[in-house]
Amino acid sequence: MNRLMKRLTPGIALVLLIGNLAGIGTAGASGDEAAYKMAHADAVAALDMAKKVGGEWRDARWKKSKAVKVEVEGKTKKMSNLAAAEAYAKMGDYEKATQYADIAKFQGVAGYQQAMDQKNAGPQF
Amino acid sequence: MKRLLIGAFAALLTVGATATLAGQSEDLQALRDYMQNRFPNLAFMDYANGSYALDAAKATQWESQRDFPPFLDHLDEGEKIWNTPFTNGKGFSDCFGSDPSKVRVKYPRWNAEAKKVETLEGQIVACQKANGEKPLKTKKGKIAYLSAWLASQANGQKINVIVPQNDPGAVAAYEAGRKFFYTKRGQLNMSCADCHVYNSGMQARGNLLSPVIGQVTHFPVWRGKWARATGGKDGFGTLQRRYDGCNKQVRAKPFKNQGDEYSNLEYFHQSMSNGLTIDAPDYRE
Repeated sequence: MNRLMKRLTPGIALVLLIGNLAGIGTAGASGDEAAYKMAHADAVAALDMAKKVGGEWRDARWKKSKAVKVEVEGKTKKMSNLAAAEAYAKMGDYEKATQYADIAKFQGVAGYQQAMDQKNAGPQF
Repeated sequence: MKRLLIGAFAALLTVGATATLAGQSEDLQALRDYMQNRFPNLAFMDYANGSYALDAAKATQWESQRDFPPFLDHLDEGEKIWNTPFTNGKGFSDCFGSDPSKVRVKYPRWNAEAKKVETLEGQIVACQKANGEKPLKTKKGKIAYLSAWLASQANGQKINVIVPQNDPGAVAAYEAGRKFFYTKRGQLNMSCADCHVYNSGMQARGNLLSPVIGQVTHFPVWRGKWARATGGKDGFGTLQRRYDGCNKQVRAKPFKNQGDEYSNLEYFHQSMSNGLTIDAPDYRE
């Protein structure tokens, strides 16, 4: 058993080393880039739908929104949920990027639904 | 039973038709009746004083602000802008007429040719563009000074926004403005009417919500909140700047200033104050 371990150990070490080297290019990255890209595309589609009916919410993707604080290059910046998603994606944090893209998508869907519900809005007296 | 059902159906149809076809005068009367019910002791002309007509303590503070209006220098600047000729030698009076006291009361109005609502600030910009001048920004600053000065020249005249009922475009613009006013929007799911009709006179945090009737008589307004943001230097803003702020407060994305949405809203909103006297500019919290 010991002999077997002695033979296997350099091999395992080599595999681990190669794995680590492969990871150098995405140091600090977390989450799944493909999942983020899909969430971002869904969010944009949902927000475009809301925009068409005048139902966009303030903090979904409005460029003057200050809803989310993100640390970018040592400075704290305030931005919309979609902008926060994009900022985190740029930093390689796809987990957080996907979370904010999902929030933006939810706000797009809800804004559209709200506008549809209010189609016949009028005085209630 | 059959008669009862037919009667009920007919009644429903009538109610539906009224809701759809209610015009400007019906809207105005219904709103006045609602407010009269809500504030039985408030005289019609007092609506021009907004929430100060509902709270004696706030009214005292407001009166003391009015003793020393913080906006007099800005009004002088507005007059100066009116009198400064354009590079081509013409001036604002070539667009609006030589009597500045007749300008404010014309707006907002329906332009049948352009098929859109014209607002005072929108026309100031249009006049500048037509004369090759760099247009002013439409929410605050110089346009508010000029607009406020023009409004001050019209003080004592009554608001009288007329929606020509024989022009389907005008009626549609008015209806769009009315719908905007009653539509819930934004993350807080609130309409203009939620605050300024159904909850007027109630507190929203430290603010007393003003009734919709009378809200436009004193615009462009000098707001303490806006003045504080500039270190007290400039608290002036146009009516559409206020719309922008309201939309942001309910967490809706604001619409383009002087775009169709806000201009149609202004058409409806101003017409709900028909009969009230212009008293501008004025101080508000």
